[in-house]
Amino acid sequence: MLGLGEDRLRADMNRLLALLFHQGVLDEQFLQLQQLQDESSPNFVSEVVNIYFHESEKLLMNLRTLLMDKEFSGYKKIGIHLNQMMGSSSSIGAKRLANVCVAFRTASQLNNRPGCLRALELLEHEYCYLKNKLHELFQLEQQRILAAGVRYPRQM
Amino acid sequence: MSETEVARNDPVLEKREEERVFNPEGMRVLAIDDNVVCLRYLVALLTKCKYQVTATTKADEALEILRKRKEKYDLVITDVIRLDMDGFRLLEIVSLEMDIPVVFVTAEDNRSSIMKGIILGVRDYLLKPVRIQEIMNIWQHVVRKRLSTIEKSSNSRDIINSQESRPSKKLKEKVIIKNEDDDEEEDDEANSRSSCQKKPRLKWSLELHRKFVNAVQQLGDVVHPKKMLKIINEPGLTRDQVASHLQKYRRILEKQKEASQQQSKTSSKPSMDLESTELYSARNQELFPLQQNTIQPPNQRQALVMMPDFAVPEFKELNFSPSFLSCMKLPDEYMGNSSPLFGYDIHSEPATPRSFPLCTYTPNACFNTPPQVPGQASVQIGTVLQHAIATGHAQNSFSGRGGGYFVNQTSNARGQLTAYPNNVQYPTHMDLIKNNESTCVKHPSEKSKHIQSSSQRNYSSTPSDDDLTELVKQFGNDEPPRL
Repeated sequence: MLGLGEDRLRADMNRLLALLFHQGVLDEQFLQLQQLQDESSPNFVSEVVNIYFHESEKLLMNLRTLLMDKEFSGYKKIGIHLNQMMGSSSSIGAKRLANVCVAFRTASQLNNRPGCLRALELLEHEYCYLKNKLHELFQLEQQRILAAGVRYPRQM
Repeated sequence: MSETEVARNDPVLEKREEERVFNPEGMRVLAIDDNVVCLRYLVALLTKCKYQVTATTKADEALEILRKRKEKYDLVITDVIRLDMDGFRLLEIVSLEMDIPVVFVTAEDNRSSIMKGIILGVRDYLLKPVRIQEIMNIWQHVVRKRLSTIEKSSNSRDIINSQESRPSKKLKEKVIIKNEDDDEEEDDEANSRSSCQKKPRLKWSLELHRKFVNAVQQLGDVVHPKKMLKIINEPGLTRDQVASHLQKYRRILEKQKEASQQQSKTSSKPSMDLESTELYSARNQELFPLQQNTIQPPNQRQALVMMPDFAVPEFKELNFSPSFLSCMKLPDEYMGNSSPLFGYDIHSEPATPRSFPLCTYTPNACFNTPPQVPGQASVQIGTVLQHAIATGHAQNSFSGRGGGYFVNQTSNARGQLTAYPNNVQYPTHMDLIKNNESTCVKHPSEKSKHIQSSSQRNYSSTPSDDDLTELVKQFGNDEPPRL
């Protein structure tokens, strides 16, 4: 059983990825990211994703501040932030997030403030979910790498 | 890279000495994007294609790098919607001052922006997420530009513009010699500002374009640039210019066809007509806008300009529509569940290791009832409160919904339970989407807004803040400001 640690972890990772694809949380763009990872940039995916988390949290906070502002200044800045969010989410392959961004954008163009708020919450929610899942994925990956480094004597 | 080999074997390229040396690998690219994630991804793509990349998020930094001229860049890739400087402005500056081909990359696929970009001279307009195939091909733009520049410099004069102040040999200098004096650069800038010309670029005046369209119609199915050249019979016009114009023309026609096929046929809007023409004419008339009431023959305009045909939707109430389902692929389609929800992987047992508490992002956002959301607050919160329940935070405001959870349980691969709250309705997601087919990609009111605002914009490249200009114009127009 011990010797199969790495295999099992890899299987778990694949299952998690399959689930995320199935749910529409991720799309093929994520695979593109993985393909860009090679010897010259071995941690490319986790680096980009971490940058994405960092930036997205800032964006989401800004969006919330803008929307909750008593003197509501208008949708232009929201539009710009939203555009950023959409761009980065689609570049990562976070399809569901990007879709919510589209809905959000629509609501903002209609000057529909409650709609925007709802969209923002959805966005935050989706983001939480994605972040958790991807963290899980990366943890599995790290464990897998560790397990791959361990050599077990053939006892079984 | 196979592209390189193809380039080397191409007989057209082999004819010209300059192009034989051109190697896509090692091509110098400057990448600019406000968004760090996208920039990182873009850089990775470019590096994978073996280009030499310099990257920055700031437009001024980018301009400084370009102006230094120590290393001449072959291509600039930039995004459009930025906080510090508008992408179009950047495009203008780079095209006018440095004469380097520019490619746009953007998250927004707004058709009027695309038109505007093309008119201002962008070489290509890519949508995020960028695919590697597109990046592998961008070197073409550099070659094409060099070809057309060299052709241009070998012509005796620019066709449309007789006010050409710079002799054509200067163009050659720009292409071949790397360094220019500051004086020349300033002069160049001043000249280009005053006459607003893009020196190496052929301007397709309406007359010329009319001739072009006539030629196309004459030739019918078999359209060759060479034949067109003969028919148009314009001195100094080259085959390549006709070819590239033809390509653009075809692309626009295709898009037009697509648009008319997809959308319901409504009457075309004459106001959009004029404004779109204005954009196009603006490009021709050295980036100055035409007067609003210039009469153009509708055929020509139709042929060239894209006419978005959309039904203007009612925005009063946002209704749930089937388009929502088609746009947002709901997992219920995958999971086989009939309820229109996002299926969440919920850890319903406390014993299972939870991922949600790991979420360090403001959990309050997930679990609060926003008081200002009218009407369906309790329903909307139901979504997030599933998780609240799952993680053991009982919310009292959550009344009458408790019964429906975790009714349908199937295990996913990891043996955890996935719950589908069947009984609960979530109309609010649908509320976010308005009732229109063009929801996901293009938005008609957005388009009309864009066209309107862009038509009001002055293309004479005075370095004023675009927002300010727009606001001023809108206030001047006795209309409510659109923000």
